[in-house]
Amino acid sequence: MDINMLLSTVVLVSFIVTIVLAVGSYLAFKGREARRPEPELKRRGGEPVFFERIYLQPKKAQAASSPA
Amino acid sequence: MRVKYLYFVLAAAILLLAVAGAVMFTVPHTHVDVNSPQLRIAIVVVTAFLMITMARYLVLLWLGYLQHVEAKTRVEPEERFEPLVTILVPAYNEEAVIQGAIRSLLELDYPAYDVLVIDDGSTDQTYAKAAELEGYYGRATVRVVSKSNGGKARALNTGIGLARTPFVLCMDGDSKLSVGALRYAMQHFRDPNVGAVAGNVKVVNRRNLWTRLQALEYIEGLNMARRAQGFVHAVNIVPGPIGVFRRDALSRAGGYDTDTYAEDADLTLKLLTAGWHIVYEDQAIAYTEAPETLFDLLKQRYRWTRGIMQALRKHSSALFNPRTRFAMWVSLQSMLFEAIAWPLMNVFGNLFFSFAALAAGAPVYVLYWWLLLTWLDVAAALHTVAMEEEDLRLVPLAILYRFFFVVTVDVAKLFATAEEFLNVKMGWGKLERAGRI
Repeated sequence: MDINMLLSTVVLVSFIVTIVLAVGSYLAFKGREARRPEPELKRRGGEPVFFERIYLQPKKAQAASSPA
Repeated sequence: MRVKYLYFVLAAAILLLAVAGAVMFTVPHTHVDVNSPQLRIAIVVVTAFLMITMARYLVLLWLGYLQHVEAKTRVEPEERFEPLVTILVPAYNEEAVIQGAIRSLLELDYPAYDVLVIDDGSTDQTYAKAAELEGYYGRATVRVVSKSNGGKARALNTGIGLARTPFVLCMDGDSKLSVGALRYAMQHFRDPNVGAVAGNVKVVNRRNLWTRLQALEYIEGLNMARRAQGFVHAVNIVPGPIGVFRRDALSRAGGYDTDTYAEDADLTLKLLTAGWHIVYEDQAIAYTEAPETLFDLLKQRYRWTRGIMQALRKHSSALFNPRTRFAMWVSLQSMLFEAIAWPLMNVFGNLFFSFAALAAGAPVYVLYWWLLLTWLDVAAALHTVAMEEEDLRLVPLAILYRFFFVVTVDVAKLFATAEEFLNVKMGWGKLERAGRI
């Protein structure tokens, strides 16, 4: 077989297999996402996200120390 | 040594581009049977595709090179520009990485700054772990606040509201900044027209083939485009892992909106609309964890693509009106091209040409076609890897990048685009972190 033909066939087959695998991977990803359990917040009926509680911690004075 | 290395690689890149051009103009004259109508149509389509591809690469590489030269030759005033900055670290279930992220922030080369961690209602130990590091550390102060879960955009808005400094740096809880990131980025704000600085994102966990390919993609794809856009002061996405903003610009733009899954792209477009310049600083580096598995990669790209489509749709009035703001219009066109046209061309162009060449009994065209695209990618990889003084071992991966990675990602992008048009419901898709930072 001509070397050009051989290489062309390799390129073509690889490309088509990659496309098929890419589509398969995407469908598998979507299937896995669909089976994923819903987040806890959502199951509880949806805590309103616009109500944002902010807790400010009292600052601890640490003179120029560095973390461990 | 570095200069010689750069010249060598640039020369190699130019040579490769020349070879690619030669192949491109040789293909139509190759002796095969061109009586087949499919092959004739294919040649026309493919020649157009190659022209667009070459033009895309040349424009991006050339503008990127100009930005690189401009950055390297810029003379900074002796007096540094070092106003107070607040670093905002939104964190949701980042217990594996949050302490490492905070510790790295305490080592920044900058005289005075605040670190504000916003725990976005994590269900793990993120808040407790971050709170352990709360306090004063000389140049830096660490504060931690907690709020009910509402997403990254809301967490950042909370941080912007609590910040009391004229500039804020927004990052991800799973990212790490280079020591000089803040100092390099801040110098751009001497120009009062600059509203934001986009940093340089690098993949830190180069542990398997997927992450190494993403490392190359960040350099050759994302950063190359960002560098080119930076030259014209119109970066269209200030990346989530590192973006520095003038707080006033953020406030006037209304902060991050929560109606898209690409809040960083949306905010950037709002700033461009308001007339702010957005520049790129390649020395402001953020190291981020890239998805290590195919499924996580697809999840990330799905969210990115749909988010960008949502941002495009939101700003669609400017998409077809170049007279509103030219920089904004160019940015939107560029996003549209990269989000839809480029993946479409990559996947369907390849498929169409392959089948047309086979139908005409001339599979050798497929080889030429693939060789040309691979040459282009290798040339672009050499050029961009050299400019960032990155690991040269990434360059050979350009072959696999063209062959497998781009196709896999582009197929996912096309599906995501179709789902966005069909309004398919989606979730945020939190990635699992391995805690490698």
